[in-house]
Order: sequence, then structure tokens, then C-alpha cells
Amino acid sequence: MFLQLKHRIKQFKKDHPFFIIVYVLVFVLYAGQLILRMELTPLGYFSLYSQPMMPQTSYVQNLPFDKKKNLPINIYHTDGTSFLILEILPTRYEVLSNAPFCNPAYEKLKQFGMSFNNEECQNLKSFEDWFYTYCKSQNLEMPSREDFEVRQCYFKNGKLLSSAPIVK
Amino acid sequence: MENFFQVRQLLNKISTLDFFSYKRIVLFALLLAMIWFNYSGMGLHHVWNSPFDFKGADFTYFLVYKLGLNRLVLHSYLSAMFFDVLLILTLIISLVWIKKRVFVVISAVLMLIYHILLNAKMGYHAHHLFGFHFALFPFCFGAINVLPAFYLSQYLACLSYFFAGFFKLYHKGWSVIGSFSEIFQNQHAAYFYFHPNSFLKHIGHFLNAYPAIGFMLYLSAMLLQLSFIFGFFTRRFDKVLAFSILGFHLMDWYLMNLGVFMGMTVMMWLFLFKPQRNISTI
Repeated sequence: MFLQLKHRIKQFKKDHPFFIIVYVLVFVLYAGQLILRMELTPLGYFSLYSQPMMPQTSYVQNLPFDKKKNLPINIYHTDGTSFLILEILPTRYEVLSNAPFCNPAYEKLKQFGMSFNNEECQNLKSFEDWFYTYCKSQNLEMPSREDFEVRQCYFKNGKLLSSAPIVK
Repeated sequence: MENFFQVRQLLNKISTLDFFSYKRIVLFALLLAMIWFNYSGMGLHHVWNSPFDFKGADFTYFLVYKLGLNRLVLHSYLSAMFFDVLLILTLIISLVWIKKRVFVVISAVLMLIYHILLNAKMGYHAHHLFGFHFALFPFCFGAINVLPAFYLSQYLACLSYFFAGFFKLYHKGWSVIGSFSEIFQNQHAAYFYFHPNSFLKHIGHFLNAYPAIGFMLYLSAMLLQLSFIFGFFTRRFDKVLAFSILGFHLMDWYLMNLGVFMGMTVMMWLFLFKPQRNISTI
């Protein structure tokens, strides 16, 4: 098998001298991403998110919430697979809000001498307003804006244990 | 036994399809996927004004923002909508003029911009589209370079799946028997609440009671991914790898409710196409 690979590489070098540069560049990018543990390539991504999960007392999910009814809004009653985006957006809102300068990679970038401003954090303040409009555009049954909030909901065995506003 | 031979015959038929038939299949699959994403609130016009501008630590995102591509595409609802329509149109045009490479190149570039901007505006570097780029890449090259481009895509697909398995191994997910059962409960926590009688809820109950079954599923997914290491050394198992992709994503869809990843199965063509046999058709 190794001989076959060696033969293939030799043949490539001979037939496609330009393409070998492309190969090297792509693999350097992948190796770099893997070493620096970044998310751009799948390798870097998997290096960050493959941990096992220990037993939990409850499971948290950030969801749009109807304060009047004191119930989360069913994001699974939407078109196609948009429930995935409705799961991701509030989760990332929490993650980014709680990161320094709203970028979880802040420490990494600081080492590369990058400077930050608060613009992205300022923008995040309008998240709930925007998310309310987005939910509406996905045909979710929504309460009035005053009764709407994004909340951390704690579940266990299909039961809602409690909910709390996202801590920033 | 007869069914087995019929499947084998079908597989042989598939592997004798010419380059342009595969191109048609891939482009059509991507077209359907893009229409589905737009229907599912994943078009750029859905998120154009989201408060996220997440670049993470990736220079590609910084480059796109530095070049002002975000301002150009996401300037308004209409410009974002125009971009989404343009991407779908270029895929249609690529399908109609299947031998004109330029349209595929444009589609591939637009697809990359779509991926980056969607991720930035979602605040999350999702990787559900990388298979699209790998699948499209070989079609962007002419007869001289199509073969190395094809192999590069194949290697990248192998690398991605192999490392997905490798990091499961490295982070020792296999050492915690109840890990998959916990991941499952966590993934569907809200779904179980809203759909108490669903099929997934029953599976959740079952995995709760028998975490070892979940462990076996986790292990089989890990082994399936690790098996992609063979793709670097031999083409003997290509058909098995192609169906590993299908099997893995079907499992992801039915168990993890991640149907959005089914588009990745277009990468199967990288393992079904026989360039040695069909190179004359390029």
C-alpha cells in the first residue's frame, strides 16, 4: 500500500508539477489549522469538538421563550431544517456574549498581535430584537415582542425543569 | 443472494458512469440542497442583518471582511437575495451547459462565499458544506489537471472523515460507556419535550436503559470514520468508503436529527468514479 502511494506521488510530480504546489499548500493549511486548533477546516473543527460527555443532571438548550405563558416556543414547527439554525443562533449568542470582545478565539488572536474593539459586542445587544424577527420569518407562533425572551431551558427526560435568562 | 448480485450489478453500473454523468448528478444534488437551504431559512437573505459577524480565529473570514465582500453581498435584503438567486442560477446554468467549465468555477466560488458569510452571520463556523466544496473542486479543472484535483478532493474527504474518527479516539470518547447516551439526551433535550411520543424519544429511553448499545453505535461510527485511512493507500475499498459516507450521514440524520448534513453524501462520487476507466470521457 505504501509503495502504491509512493508511486502515485512520483507520478504526480512528473505529470503535474504545478499541482504538487497546490497539494503542499492545502496540506500546510490543514496542518496549520490542526496545530492551531481553528475551525476553518474540518480537521481543526473536529480537534475542538469531539470530547466525550459525562452524565448530566439536566440538559440545557437556549430557546425562544414566551414569558406570558412561561413556556419555550416550539422551534420544531418550522419549514425544512430551520430548527437547526434556531438551535444554533441563541446558543452562539450566549457563547459569543460571554467571550472577551465577543470572540472565543480572543486569546489566540491576541498572541498574533491582533487588536480588538467593542463593535461586535455592541452589535450583539440587538440580538433579541433580530432573533424575534427571524423566528417570525420562519413562521413560528410568536408572542408579542414584550413577552418574548431568549432563555436557557433546563430539561431532563423530556420535562422542562426550569428556565433562566441568558447570563452575560 | 440474488439481491446481493443485483446490488453489485447496480454498483458496477454506477462506477461505469462517465465524468459528465457524475458532474450532472453532483450539480443537481447541490442545486436541490441550495433550494432546500433557502426554504429552511438558511439563505443569506434570511440572515443578512444578523448582529453576528463572527470571524473566530480564521484568516479567511478576516480576509472576506477586509475585502468588503460582506458589505457587497449583505448590503441589503435585496443584495443578499440577489446573491442567493445568483448561486442557484449558476448551478442551473452549469447543469445546462455541462461542458462549460467556467460556470462550475463561478458556482464553486459563490458557494465558498456563501459558506463563509452564512457562518459569519450565524456566529458559528458550521462545517455542513465542506463536502460541497470537495465534490465540486475536480470539475473546476480541465483535462490536464482534473485527475490530481480529483485525487486531492478524495484525500481531503478521507482526511476529514479519518480525523473525525481520530479525535473521537484521541479525546477518549470510547472510554466513557454512557457518553453517546448523554450526547443523545443533550442533542434532543428540547425535542423530547416538544415531541414526547416521537420515535427519537423512544430511542432515547432505550439508550438510557442500555447505554452499552449507544456505546456500540458510537464505536461503529468511530470505526467507520477511521476506516477512511485506507483511502490514502488503496482504491480497493473505495465502494465501501462511499457507502460508509452514506451510512454515517443516514445515522447522523435519523439519530442526531442532522439531516442538513445529507448534502455531504455528494462526496460519494469521489469514491465511485473510476478515473482510470473513465478518464477518456473527461
